[in-house]
Amino acid sequence: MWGFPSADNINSAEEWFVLLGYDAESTIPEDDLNNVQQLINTPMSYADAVMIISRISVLSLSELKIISSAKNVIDLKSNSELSTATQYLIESIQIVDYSPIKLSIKEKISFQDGVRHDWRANGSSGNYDFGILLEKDPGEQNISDHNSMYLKWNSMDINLIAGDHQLIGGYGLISWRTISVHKGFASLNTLPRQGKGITGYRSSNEYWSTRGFGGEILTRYGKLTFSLGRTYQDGSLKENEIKLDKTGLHVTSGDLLLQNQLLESSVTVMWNNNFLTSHLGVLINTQNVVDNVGTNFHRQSVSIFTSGNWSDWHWFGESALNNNKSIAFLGGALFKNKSIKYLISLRYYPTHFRTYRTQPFSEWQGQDDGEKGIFQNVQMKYEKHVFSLYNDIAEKIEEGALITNNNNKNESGIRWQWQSKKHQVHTQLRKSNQLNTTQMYFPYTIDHDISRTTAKGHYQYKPTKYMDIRWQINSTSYNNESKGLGLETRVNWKTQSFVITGSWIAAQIDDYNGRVYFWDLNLPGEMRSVAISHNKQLLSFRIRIKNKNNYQLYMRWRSAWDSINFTGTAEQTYALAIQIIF
Amino acid sequence: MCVLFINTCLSASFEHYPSNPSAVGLGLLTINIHTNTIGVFADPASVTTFHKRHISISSGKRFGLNLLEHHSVALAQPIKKVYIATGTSFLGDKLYSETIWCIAMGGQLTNKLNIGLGLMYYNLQIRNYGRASSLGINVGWHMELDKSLKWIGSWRNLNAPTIGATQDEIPQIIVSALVFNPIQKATVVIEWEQDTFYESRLKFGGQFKLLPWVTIHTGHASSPGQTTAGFEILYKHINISYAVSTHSYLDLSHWFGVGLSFR
Repeated sequence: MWGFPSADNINSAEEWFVLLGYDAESTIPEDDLNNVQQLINTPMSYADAVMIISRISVLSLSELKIISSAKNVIDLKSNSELSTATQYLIESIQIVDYSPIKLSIKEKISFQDGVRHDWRANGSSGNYDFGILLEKDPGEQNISDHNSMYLKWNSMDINLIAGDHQLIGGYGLISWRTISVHKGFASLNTLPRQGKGITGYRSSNEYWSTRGFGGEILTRYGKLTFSLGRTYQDGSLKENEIKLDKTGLHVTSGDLLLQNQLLESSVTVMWNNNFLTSHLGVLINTQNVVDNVGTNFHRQSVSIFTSGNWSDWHWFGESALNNNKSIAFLGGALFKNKSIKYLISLRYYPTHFRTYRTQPFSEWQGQDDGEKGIFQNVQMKYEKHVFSLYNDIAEKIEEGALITNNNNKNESGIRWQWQSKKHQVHTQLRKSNQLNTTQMYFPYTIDHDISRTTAKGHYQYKPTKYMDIRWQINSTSYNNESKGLGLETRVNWKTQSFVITGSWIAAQIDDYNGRVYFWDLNLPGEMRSVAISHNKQLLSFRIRIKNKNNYQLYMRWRSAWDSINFTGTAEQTYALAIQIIF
Repeated sequence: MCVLFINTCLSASFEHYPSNPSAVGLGLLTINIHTNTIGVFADPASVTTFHKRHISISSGKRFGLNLLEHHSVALAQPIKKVYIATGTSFLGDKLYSETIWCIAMGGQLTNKLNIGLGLMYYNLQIRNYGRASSLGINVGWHMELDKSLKWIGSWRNLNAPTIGATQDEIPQIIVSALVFNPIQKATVVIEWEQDTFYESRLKFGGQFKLLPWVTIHTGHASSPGQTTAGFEILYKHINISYAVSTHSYLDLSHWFGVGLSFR
C-alpha cells in the first residue's frame, strides 16, 4: 500500500513536485511541468489524461502500469496502490466525456535584471497537434530570440512531425531530455523509465531541439522512429570537439559571436519492440556539425537498450558505442513489493563520451569527464510512514589532468515522511564526501576531503480546506567551516476566485559554500528555486486569480533585503502571467 | 535643449507610431479598443472590430514641436469573413521625415479569439542624405476572457527589421493589456508595453460614457511619467476626438481625430 485514502486537489505543478519530495536543489524537466500544469488546469477526456500522465517522467513504472490498465478515473481514484502524490494529481484532473479544448495560450512576463517574456500556444485540430513558442531573455533585443514551432499529424499507425522536435530513446546515453535523471530519494521511480520516442519540442531550453522532420511508424515487427534534422546551434568547434553554448543568452558581444554559428545535420533512427516479458531497442545516430568557417565535425553513435520483468524484479540497461570506439553502459534492477522498493544501478562512461543529445545519469557533467559509479535507492512504507534512503559512490575518470582531480564521491541521504489528513511532516539528511587529489609536486599527491551536509525539516498544517501553512528549515554545513541556516514560512489561502500565497524566508549564511535553497513562488511552467548565499530576508506574494471560465491570471512580487535585520534597500522583482484555455 | 532631446529621441527611427486620440487619452495606449482605424497600425487584430467601412484621420504635434508633427489616415473594410485595413502615416518635416504604410488583415479564429497581421512599409527620408526603407510584420490578438474582460496583445516588428546602411534596428515592441468593463458605461485598461531596448512602460486608463454621445478618457503612463486626458463626441456616423498628454520637461502634446463610419 503506497498511498493514503484521503487525496485532495492540488493547485499548481509546484505544489505537486513539493508533495513528491523534490528538493529545491533539483532540476525538474520543463516538459513534466507543462504536462502536470495541463492536467491540473485543462478539462480533458480520460484517454487524453492517461496519455499525458504516461509522458510524465517522474512517475514510476508500476504506477504507469496501474494507470494504463485502469478502466476509468473512478477505478483510479479508488486505487490505494498509487502514491499520495499520484493520487493528488489524479484527484485534480477534471475528466469530461468530450474534450472541448482546442487551444491553450500562456504569456509570462518577469522583471528581474531585465525583462523575460515567454509566449506559447499549444493546440489541436482534428488529427493535428501544434505548438508555438516565442521567448526573449532579459537583455535580449529580439522578441522572438528563441522561437520554436511544430506541427504533428497523428494516425493509428503513423505519426509525423514537422518543425522542432525531440527524439528520446533508451536511458540517456545517446538521445535524452534537456536534463538528466535527478539523483536523489525518488530516483528509483525515474531511472528505470525509458525514453518515450518522438514529441514536439515544448521546452524553452534553446539548444536541445532538432529542427526538421520526424515520425514514428508502428509495424508488426516493432516501432520505428526517425528524425532528420538541420539545426542551428550556438557554439564553436574547438580541438575537434563541439563546444556548445548552452546558456541561450544573446546579450553580450561574446554571446552574439557564438549565436547560430554551428549548423548540425543529423539523422536518428530508433527501433524498439515489446516481447513477452522484455523490451528491446536499437538507436542509431549520425551527426555532422559545420561551423561558420567550414570546419566539419562528424560523429556517429549506436546503442542497444533493453528492459524486462522477472518475478518482483524489473531490469533495464543501455550500452552505447560512439565513433571514438568508446563504450558506455548504464543498467540496473528494481525490486518492488507491497512495502519495499529497492533499486541498484551501475554506470560506466569513459572520458570524452559524447554523443548526439547525451544526458546520462551522472555525478559530473563536464564535456571531458567520464565516471563509473554504483547507485542504490530504497523506499519503505509502513502505515503512514515512508522511509527513503539512497547512496551513490562515483569515481571520476579523467585523462591527462595533472593538477587537481575530484576523483571520488560518496553521497548518501535518509528521509522520513509522515502524512495525515491535516498534518504532513518530512525530515531528511544528505551528506556527500568528495576526495580531491592535488598533484602539487610530482609525483607526490595531497588528498583532502570535501564534505557537505544538508538537513531539511518540513511541517505542513492544513486547518481547513481553504488554508494551509508550512514551515521549512534548511541547513548546510560545508567542511565544518561554512554554515548556513534558513527558515521559510509559507501560507496558502484559497477563496473561490483567488489563491493567495505568502512566503517569508530568513537566512543566516556564512558564505557561498553554506548556501541554502528554497522553492520560489512559481508561475505556471516555472520551477525556480532561490539559492541564498548570504544573510537575507525575502518577502514574497503571489496572487492567482482563477476564474470559473477559461483563464487564470498570476502576479508575483518579491522584496529581498541583503541583511537579516531588514536594513538597506530591498531589491524588488515582479512577474505576471496569463493562461487561457479555449 | 530641444535639439538635444530630438537627437536622443530619434536615434532609433520609428519610435513614434501613429495612434488615435482616444487611445492617447486613455494613457497613451498601444491597443485599439475604439472604433478608430488609426489604431490598426499598432494593433492589427483591432481590424476585426470594423464590421462596416470606416475611415479615420488623426493629426497632432508631439511635445509642441513642429519637428514632431504627424498626420495619419486609415481605411478599414470587411470583405466577407476577412477584415482588411490600409493606412499611411507621416511624421516629421521637410528635413527629416518618417512615413509608414500599413496593410492589416484579420479574422475570427474562434468565437472568442480574433487575430490580425499587419505588413508595414517604413520609409525614412533625410534631406541631403537620401532615403531608406524597410518592411516590418506586426501580429496581434484580441481575446474575450469573459463578458467583462478582454486580453489584447501585439508584437510589433516581429521580423526584427533594420533600416539604412548602418542597419539600425527598428524598435520591437511587445504589448499585453487587460480591458475591463465593470459597468456598461465604463472601461478600465491596464497595458504593459515593452520596447526591447528600453524600460517597460506601464499604462493605465479609464473612460466613461457621460452621455450617449460623449465619452471622456483619462490615463497615465510610466517611464517617463505622462498623464493624459481626452474626449470623444459621436454625432451620427462621425466621431470627433481630442486628447492631450503631459511630460515632465516638455510641452503638452495634442492629438485631434475625425472618424467616419459608413452604413
